Amino acid sequence: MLRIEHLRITYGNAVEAVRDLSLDVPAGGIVALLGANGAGKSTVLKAISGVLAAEGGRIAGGDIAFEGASLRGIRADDAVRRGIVQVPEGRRLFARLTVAENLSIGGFLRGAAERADTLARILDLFPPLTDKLSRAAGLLSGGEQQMVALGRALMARPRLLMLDEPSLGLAPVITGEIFAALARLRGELGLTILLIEQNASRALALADRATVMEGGRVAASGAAAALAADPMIRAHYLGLSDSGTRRNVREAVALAPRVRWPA
Amino acid sequence: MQFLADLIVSGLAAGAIYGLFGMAYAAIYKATGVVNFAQGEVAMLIVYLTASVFTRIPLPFWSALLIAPLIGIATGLVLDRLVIRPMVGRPAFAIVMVTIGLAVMIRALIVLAWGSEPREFPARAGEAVLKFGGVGLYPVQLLAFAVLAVAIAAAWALLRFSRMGLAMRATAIDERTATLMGIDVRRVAAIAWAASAGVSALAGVLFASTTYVGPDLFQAGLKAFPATIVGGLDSVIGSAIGGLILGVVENLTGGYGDTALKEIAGFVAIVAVLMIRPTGLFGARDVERL
Repeated sequence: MLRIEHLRITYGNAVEAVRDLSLDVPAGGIVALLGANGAGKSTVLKAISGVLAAEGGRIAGGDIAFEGASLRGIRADDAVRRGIVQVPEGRRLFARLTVAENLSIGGFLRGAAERADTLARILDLFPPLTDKLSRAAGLLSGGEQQMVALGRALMARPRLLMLDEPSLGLAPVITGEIFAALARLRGELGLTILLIEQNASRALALADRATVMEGGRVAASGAAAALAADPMIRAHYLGLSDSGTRRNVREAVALAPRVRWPA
Repeated sequence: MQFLADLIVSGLAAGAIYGLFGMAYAAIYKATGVVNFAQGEVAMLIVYLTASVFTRIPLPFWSALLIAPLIGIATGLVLDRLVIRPMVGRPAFAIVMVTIGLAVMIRALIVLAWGSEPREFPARAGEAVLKFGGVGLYPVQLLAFAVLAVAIAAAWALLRFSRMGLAMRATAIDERTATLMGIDVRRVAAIAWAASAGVSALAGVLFASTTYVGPDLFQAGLKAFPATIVGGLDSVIGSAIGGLILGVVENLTGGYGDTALKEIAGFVAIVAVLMIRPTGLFGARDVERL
């Protein structure tokens, strides 16, 4: 469904944020894009969703194709028309608008009947929102805001849903609920998902495949289960010890030169 | 008491025109985050164009309230396409500077095209004073109230109930996220410029019919700027109410104080209101869970 080939992204013709990235997201699949801050993950999402140019970035090489058509130079609203919808990092709700208005904006390109039908599904998926529809979105808890952000994206009836750090700033129990909702969405709607996430354990548990980025490049790629089981990947790219907990950063850095970027 | 009533009513009538100008400022600011410092000049250009039509085709004054907004909408769309759209994505400061440049260009264009001599607006609304319980009003003053009331109702309905209105409110809050929801922010900006020019056309024609059509007509728009600050720069309806407040404050200051004070009354009102409410009387405040 989404194919990225040898993608190169620069900012201001100077900073190379993404180098030679290739990635496939098959229809109905969930692919996780993992890596530390500054690895280039969000830049990839911006290129797909059409907001890269507005931030001074440009695709300097390679291509991104969605259902066979190139996305180079596409505007964000055109990307949504094609079925590519993003849940941005930090949720970015319209805080002064009500929950109902936020959800309605998500379905901006859809007709009234479709919006009503999708809203019913979203309230079924996230029951806590049912009695908060008339509240200002900025007054909700972090978990509820993430539900609204996800619901707002679903109102557009996406064919490809992209999520940028959905667990950011959320308690583990809420993160669990959000990821359970994503699994349910894939099961019920066959939704295709591209997920950026720093919580590697959660992401790998949900995804079919994963790509680990470091410094704008692909450091590792493969089946999510295989990556999750690979001790070297766990230790050096996902920051996980054998027991599944995060490693000490200093320890990870000290180990890094031995395994990263062999000459 | 009669004097006070006269001052308040005629202040409200002047304030209705300020309110229309205020709505025009707020419509663009709300949708694009830009203060259009060419608002008065845009209104002046539309008044000149409308006056040209009425010079060639004698029409009753009321028809100017239909023709001027149509010319205004067309002017707004042209300005958006030629001047604003190429600036999309640039910092708001750069776009504000462009509006200042636009203001200077329109002033020069008007002198080149129509000369610097002031003239009467070709159609008049009538001079007969209408009495309402002892308070006298000219027909054009009554029209100003009616036009402002219709403009407020239309703006409220558009922003509250239409999908485009919701898109405009979302774009005003966060343009980048609005684009991620499929909203074409360039179209939103075009509609805002068209609506703003349409409303300022009404204000311009009403103002010109009580004064004259001249190359300093733009000052009416500039004078109305405090209205939108008092009412709330991001509140279209608040700016209309700000205009009414400004009109009354100016008239009361001029009536009971010095005429010179009348000129600064609006700016004193800005300082007083902003000290109490930094976003204006009806401006939106951030909503955040603590």
